[in-house]
Amino acid sequence: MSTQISRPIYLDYAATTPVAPEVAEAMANCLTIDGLFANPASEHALGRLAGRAVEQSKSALAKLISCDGAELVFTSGATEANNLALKGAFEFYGKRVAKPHLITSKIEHKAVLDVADWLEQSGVAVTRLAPDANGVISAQQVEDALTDDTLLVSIQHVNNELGVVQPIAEIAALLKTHPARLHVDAAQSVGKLAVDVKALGVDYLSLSAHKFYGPKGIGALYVCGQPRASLRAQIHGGSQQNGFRSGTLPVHQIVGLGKAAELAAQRLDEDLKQAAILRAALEQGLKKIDAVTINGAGAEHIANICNVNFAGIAGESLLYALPDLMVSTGSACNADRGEPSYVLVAVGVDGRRPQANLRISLGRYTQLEDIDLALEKITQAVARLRRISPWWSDA
Amino acid sequence: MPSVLRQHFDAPQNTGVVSGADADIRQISAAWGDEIRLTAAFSGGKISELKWQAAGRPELLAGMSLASSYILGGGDIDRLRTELESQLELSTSNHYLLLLIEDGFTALMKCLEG
Repeated sequence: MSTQISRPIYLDYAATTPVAPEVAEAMANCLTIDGLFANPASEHALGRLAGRAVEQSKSALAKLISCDGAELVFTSGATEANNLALKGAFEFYGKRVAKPHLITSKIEHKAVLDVADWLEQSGVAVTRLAPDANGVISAQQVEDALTDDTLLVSIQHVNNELGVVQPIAEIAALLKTHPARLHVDAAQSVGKLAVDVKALGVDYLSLSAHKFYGPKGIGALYVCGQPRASLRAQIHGGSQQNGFRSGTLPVHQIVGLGKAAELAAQRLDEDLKQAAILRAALEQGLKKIDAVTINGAGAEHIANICNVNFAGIAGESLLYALPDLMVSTGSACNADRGEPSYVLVAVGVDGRRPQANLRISLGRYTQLEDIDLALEKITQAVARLRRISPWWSDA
Repeated sequence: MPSVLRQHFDAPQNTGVVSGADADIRQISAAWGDEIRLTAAFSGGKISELKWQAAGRPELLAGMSLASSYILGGGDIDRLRTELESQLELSTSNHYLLLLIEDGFTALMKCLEG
């Protein structure tokens, strides 16, 4: 017998967001014989129409992050964008120094950490900075780790588990006097925070459409044009996108990304306001539960991600006791391994024992009633599990 | 999770701590940190009262409910593992839970035997 779900309450917007109806409609117009299905590289009329749609989408995305469309490379998502930025930058700049050096942090997404591991195996020296107890990497830490051989610093904008916002502008400012480039994984911030790549001062920035109501399978890498940041392509064959990323452009995906960017720009203030209201209600309710800790609360954090620990119970059982609540224990990328979250471990929290951890992430379609219902269910489940927990009775 | 276990997870049987217990057993999974506590009162060479607590995976909580009902119903400790295996349908990675439960109840029966 499968688990009965009365009404699913989706509170996992940091994992992915549903495609906005306007986005789905725009994408559907690019698929069939009566739409913009043609190859945008084709020189015939339909190809040119598809090409125009791609350029319009690029402009919408460029507007969202305040750059020029020519500075964007479409990818399959933030993971590919991170790979392109890190591998591409080291391939381009690597021979300029004796021992190429990368600075990153211990709490990056695996899409950066695994690339860092790969680079390390290829001879790159890697420094992985440890965050403070709130999950913050300071500009001072980056400065202390810089060497003459440092070619790249890669720090995420918003942590995917904690929601903590890193001081990117400060890090960029200190790199103005150092030749190292700055890459930012902004998968959790674009479309949810005001992101201005010029004001931040970044050289490369990765983003993913499905984090802000666009489709999965499309993202982009911003590559600063002035002062020029360079990289070597990692996918060859066709020389599309000026050779930076070959492959036929997926018009429907790009149009979906562009529409999502357009909507994000239009709704950013409204979305931020709504997220703040929802977050306040959520935190207020969570704090009524005994022995609850909200991780990263002492740092600047994005409103839509709330990472919370409940003492005295196990995360797996808490999640199982909430079958109609769609939330994560730590990062979804780790959940199936039964391992403690490396992000929580890095900030000094035991991600598995003896406390349960939930990442609750809110979004455009979250209602206050959802928060109320979620709080009711969480409160009941925590109380029920604590009644039968030796960890709780010991405490 | 099989429906019988969903039922035991949602409405676990025999939970709590026996006050003035004759036996108080704790077992911890070194690998995973899951923990069980069994308390029991004995009378006339038999278990007169049995309660448990557990923290860990949902299969552990359901398994403890199932095992305690089985033992209180007169089930044979030697067949406990087979009984749990037939009901739990655990994945290989969760087989350590069987050992944890079995170890706990075996220790309890040793206390009973004195």
